[in-house]
Amino acid sequence: MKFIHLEMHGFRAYKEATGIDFEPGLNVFRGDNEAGKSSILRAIKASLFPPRSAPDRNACVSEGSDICRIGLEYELVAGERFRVERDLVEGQQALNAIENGTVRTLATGSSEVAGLLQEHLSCDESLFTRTLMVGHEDLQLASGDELTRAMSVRIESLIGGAGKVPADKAVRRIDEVAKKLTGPRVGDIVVVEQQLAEAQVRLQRAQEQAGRLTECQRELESLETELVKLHREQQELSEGLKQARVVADLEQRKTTVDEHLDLIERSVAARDELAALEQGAAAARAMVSAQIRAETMTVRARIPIPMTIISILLVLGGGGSIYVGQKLLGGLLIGIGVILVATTVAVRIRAATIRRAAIRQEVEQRVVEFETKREQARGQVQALLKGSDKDLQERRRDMSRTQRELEAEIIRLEEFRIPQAELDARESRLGELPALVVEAERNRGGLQQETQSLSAGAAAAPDIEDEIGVMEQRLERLKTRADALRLAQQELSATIDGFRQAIGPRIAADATRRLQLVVPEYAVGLVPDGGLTFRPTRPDGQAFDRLELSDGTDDQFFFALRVALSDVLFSENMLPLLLDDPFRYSDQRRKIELHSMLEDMARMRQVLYFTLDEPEGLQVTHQLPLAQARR
Amino acid sequence: MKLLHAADLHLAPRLAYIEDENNRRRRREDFAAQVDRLPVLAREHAVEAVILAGDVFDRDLPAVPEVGRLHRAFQDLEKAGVVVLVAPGTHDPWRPGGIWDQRWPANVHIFRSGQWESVVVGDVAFYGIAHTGGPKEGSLFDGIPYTENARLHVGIAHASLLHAYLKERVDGKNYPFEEGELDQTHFNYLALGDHHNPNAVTRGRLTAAYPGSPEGLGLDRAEVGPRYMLVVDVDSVDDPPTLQQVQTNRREVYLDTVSLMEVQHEPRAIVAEEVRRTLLAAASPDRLARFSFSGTLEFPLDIDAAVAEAASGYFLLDVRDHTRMIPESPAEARTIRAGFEARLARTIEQAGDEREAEIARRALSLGLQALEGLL
Repeated sequence: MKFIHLEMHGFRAYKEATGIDFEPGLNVFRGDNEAGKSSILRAIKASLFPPRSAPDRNACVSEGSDICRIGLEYELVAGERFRVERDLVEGQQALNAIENGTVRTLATGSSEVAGLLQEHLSCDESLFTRTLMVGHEDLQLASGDELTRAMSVRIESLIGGAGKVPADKAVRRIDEVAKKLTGPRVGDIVVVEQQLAEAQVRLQRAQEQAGRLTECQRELESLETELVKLHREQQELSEGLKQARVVADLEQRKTTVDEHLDLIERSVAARDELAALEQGAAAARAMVSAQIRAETMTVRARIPIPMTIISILLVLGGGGSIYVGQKLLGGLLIGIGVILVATTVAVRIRAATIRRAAIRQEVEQRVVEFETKREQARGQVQALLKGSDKDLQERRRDMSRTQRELEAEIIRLEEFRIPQAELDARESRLGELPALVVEAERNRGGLQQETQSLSAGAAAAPDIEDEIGVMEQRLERLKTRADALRLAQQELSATIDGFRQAIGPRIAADATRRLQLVVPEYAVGLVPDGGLTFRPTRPDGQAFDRLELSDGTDDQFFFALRVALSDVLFSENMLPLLLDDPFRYSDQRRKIELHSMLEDMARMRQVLYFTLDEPEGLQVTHQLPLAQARR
Repeated sequence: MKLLHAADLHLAPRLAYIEDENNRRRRREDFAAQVDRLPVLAREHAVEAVILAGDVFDRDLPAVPEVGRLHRAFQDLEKAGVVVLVAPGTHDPWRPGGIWDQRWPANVHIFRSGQWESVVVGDVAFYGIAHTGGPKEGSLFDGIPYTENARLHVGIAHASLLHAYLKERVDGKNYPFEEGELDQTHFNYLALGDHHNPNAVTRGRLTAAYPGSPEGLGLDRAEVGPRYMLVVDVDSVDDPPTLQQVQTNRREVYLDTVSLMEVQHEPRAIVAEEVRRTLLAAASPDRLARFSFSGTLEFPLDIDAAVAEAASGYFLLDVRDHTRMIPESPAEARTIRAGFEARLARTIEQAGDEREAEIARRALSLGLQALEGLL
């Protein structure tokens, strides 16, 4: 590749439109300070890699200018010619192909233009700046920095490539994918591990619920059994008590019937007794009358006969006497007979009266007793049952029949007959049972509710197990993939390192060859295990501290290294080498040797050499400042 | 007597191989639906007894709702006057508090012992043995009682007939037995469970049969194709029973290994089209399919697009890439790709175990994908 023509308008020192035609080989730009050397170098770089930031772009605009345009025409090794144009004020760009004098726009988008340029240059900005634009600054190639990566890409393309994607980019891509998997906070593996841990907690909870559910079901079964027992007990007690109550009722009824029957019996007896007493009273009264009569008779009977006869005889005698005229005597006799009779009768009557009174008293006492008893019996009869005897008899028969029936029923239900204490105990137990049933049913309800609520949780266990299985498999896959990615990254990096190490000596040898043209006492060595890190060494390769080099030798070291890098990295399209007075610290002898080297190099590639001094041994092709077109 | 013989229903199955939760739920329902078939088939074929020869449940979790479903099916069978005989298997062994330790309808007899027990139904004696968690001492068929007054004798066990290819792989807990041991039994029929592949052997008057799993349990060769329950007519004392397979599966497990050797040197697009065509050709909404692509290719197999397109045509589509890369160039070629391949080839060769080798194979594939811009 070589630059053909550069145009600047409003660019730094070139406020007016200025054009530069480049020689195909060595171009020597000489000018004093402020003559515009750096502006040309920067215009070339800005044409290929425009400044990204606004301040950098603004710094390119000439003072007082409202435009800033640059254009660089270049030719590839195969002869294809292109022109890149940029308007740094308007932010526009275009890459045109120039074929037979006609211009064809290939791209106007910034990234499209950049892509095409990178394709033409085979390098990016960092590699271009650090390799092709040689100043007097040093060149550090730390492993892993942007330049090293850029060099790796270039090396890969030189050694045949790795595929569609540069190996270094592939390593970074693998690293990105691996980090997405293994990132400590949001990496896929961490996320799945968290989900897995959460699922395991849920599973544990479901298993606990399943365990509790089993317990609940057992308790529920036991409670159901208990409830059945309680209900059965309630039913049995209720039935037993019902029968017992029937028996008790029968017994009660029988007692009542017994009592009633007894009453009837007593009523009948009382009536009999009353009748007997009535009869007794009548008999007593009759007996009193009889006794009185008898007593009267007795009194009569007990008037002594001799006295009676004497009295009669006296009376008769008296009567006779009177008749006979013995009236006094007769009267006396009659009087004596009457007195005798009267006295006897009176005595007798008095005795009979006393006796009769005693008998009457006794009889009346007995009558009173009878009547008292009768009255009592009557009272009892009145207090007992009324009705006729016939009724009573019928009732007694009925009652007796009822009594027999009751007795038969009681015998039939004998098994249900329980002692009162037991009956009371059972009644008490029966009274307690409803509360126990309610309690058990409440417990059952609670357990059923708990069972229901546990069932859903416990039933989820298989689903969660599957979920965990899916996650474990996913995690295993991710881990395997992460391991594979790490291995791929490690192996690809190692492969790249291997190639770096392999190409490093070539660069070092090339750089050494160039360096020793100027300073034979030095060589360029590769830092062991440092990727593409180079260092100055003694000719035998022995390392020494770079600080021992003079500024001039230091510049020559890095110049040689860059040229060597450029030769190795861009050997196929031989990019122009832009040298910004890199030998300013070299002594005259070395400068002559270096200028000679430039002439040699320019036979193979285009060289743009900018210098403040007269370049001894070289012809100045472009004296600065350049003439600028005036509007 | 006609019997319905089923085994390995694996209710509430482990379905971790199905990533989609909704599909897992649907697949679980496929298995649960087999329970509903029992009373339907029992009526349809006028069977007098239903035999479940183990692994009715995939896991011993009494809380799974499938228990209630099975209970209802048993009640339905009870109404139809059908006896149910269950020999617990390795997945659902008998244990106190376990999945079988529940109140089942009166028509259900669960064999609860690790020794043979018998129960008589009509003139048939059923002999069953349960898994209780450990191996059985001695021969599987030692200690079978004999029921004198039974005309026919039917054994029920979840046990593993030792085919030659299985001998080294069967654990004692699976109740292994050799075919010859069947001769020591007095069974007319032995209802087996454990092998998910339908299979039957006849020795004299005895037939021993595996109905197989009524739904394909996983993406395994034993689960491929139609699945069955057996209707068994045990009638003759002298002749082996007759067996009728009744297809039961709702969905089908399908496995295919596809070699891409024929398109080995074709461009990437042709290979991708071959994969796409293969996947689409076998698509069915009730199919759980696994394809394993093998062969040696010049580039990593990019099947994502084809799988994404075909996946909607399947209930489950699982594609395994077992292809290998053709080395790009001779080992001495100075390219990073070749160097990378050479390094990983050495790692694979020197791998200490299969996982290490697998990781190295994947690393090779991932690295190449990254270099091809496919990662």
